[in-house]
Amino acid sequence: MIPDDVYVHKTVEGDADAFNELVTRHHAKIYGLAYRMLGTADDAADATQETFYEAYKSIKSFQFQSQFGTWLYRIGINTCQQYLRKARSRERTLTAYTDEVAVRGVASDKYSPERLALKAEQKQIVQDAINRLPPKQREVVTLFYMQHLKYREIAEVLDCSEGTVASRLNQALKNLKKKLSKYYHSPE
Amino acid sequence: MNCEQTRENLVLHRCGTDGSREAQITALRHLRTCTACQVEYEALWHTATVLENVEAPVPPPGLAAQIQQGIQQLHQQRKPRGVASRLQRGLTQIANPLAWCFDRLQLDLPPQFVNAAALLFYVLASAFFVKLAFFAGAPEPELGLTAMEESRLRHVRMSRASWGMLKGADKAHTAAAQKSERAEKPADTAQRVNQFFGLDTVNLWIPRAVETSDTLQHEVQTADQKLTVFWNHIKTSL
Repeated sequence: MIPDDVYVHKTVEGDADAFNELVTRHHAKIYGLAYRMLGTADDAADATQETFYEAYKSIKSFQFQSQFGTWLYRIGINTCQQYLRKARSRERTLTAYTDEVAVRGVASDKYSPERLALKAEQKQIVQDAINRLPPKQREVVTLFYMQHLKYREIAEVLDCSEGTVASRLNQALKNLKKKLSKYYHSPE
Repeated sequence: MNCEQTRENLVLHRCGTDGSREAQITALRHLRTCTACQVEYEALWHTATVLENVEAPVPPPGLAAQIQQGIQQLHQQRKPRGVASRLQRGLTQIANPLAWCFDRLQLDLPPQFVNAAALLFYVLASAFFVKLAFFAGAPEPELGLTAMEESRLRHVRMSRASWGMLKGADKAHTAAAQKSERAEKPADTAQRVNQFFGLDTVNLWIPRAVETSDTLQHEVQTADQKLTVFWNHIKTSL
């Protein structure tokens, strides 16, 4: 497989089709990141488009010191942060609605992960829990568990130290444990 | 290691970070003896498992094509087309200073207006500098007493007399006039002086004896020089 850097060089030289190849390779990952960060499919699609437009406009500033995917994640994170700043009230409304649904639906039941038969419901429950995290914790959880990046890569994307990544992940996991624990059995 | 320290390390251990080997061993030893920490660890394990096993969201089918279409449009906008677009881009670059000013004033003006304003500004500035360089008029004559004295100097007519202006002294003091004046008889001169001052035939003003023409001409020249020096002195003192 041709490395991403080759297509980046061609794009810098003026070949737009080379950038289209990069879009094909990375659009799913950026969409997944945006979906976890923003919580809705429409916002995730818009953010994904915006991320690639920004990447194309600033492609000449890519200095090949990291992977193109890592650089693209950074742009995606920044784009999602802008969306979150604009849509804070909408997010609060969404989480309030899902809280209500979750309480009505499974208030008194406890399910182990194996008993959650409906994958859509599982996804929605997890997404709701992630939505309620602070943005910084949401970023590290998404990049670590959904995008499967390593600590070093996450630190590069977020422009922070690995210790900071670990600390945020620690707090995020504890918060998620509280929110998700009612959906599975705790050992007696 | 107490429960709090162990639980702090549990997440790192679960995440598989390259933490201290000794810290991991200590945490595991504590887990074997502490039931509460075991419960906590299992809860974290479940949470992490759920997060890792949740399905990744699938992007809509036409998303990649939509993005690529947008990229093509961006590429077309950046691409120079022809002379007209180059001219437009050139005008836009020239108009940038004005566009920056309008942005600072928060005036959301259309680009065509900004370009037209920049063009008008540069035309006016060029016309001003061209006029300044090529069409500057002659300097105006000096005003004031100095100019008046200079004009008088041109009209002063020298005579044989030491002082005074005889009748007809407004005529140009030409060499011919000087000659005719020198040729004038002393008696006629005296008569004219008397008539000028309104005197009768009593010669109150008696001219000096007629001198030779050379001496007279020399006297005129020196008197002329003296007068010139005199007027120059007046000019500089004023």
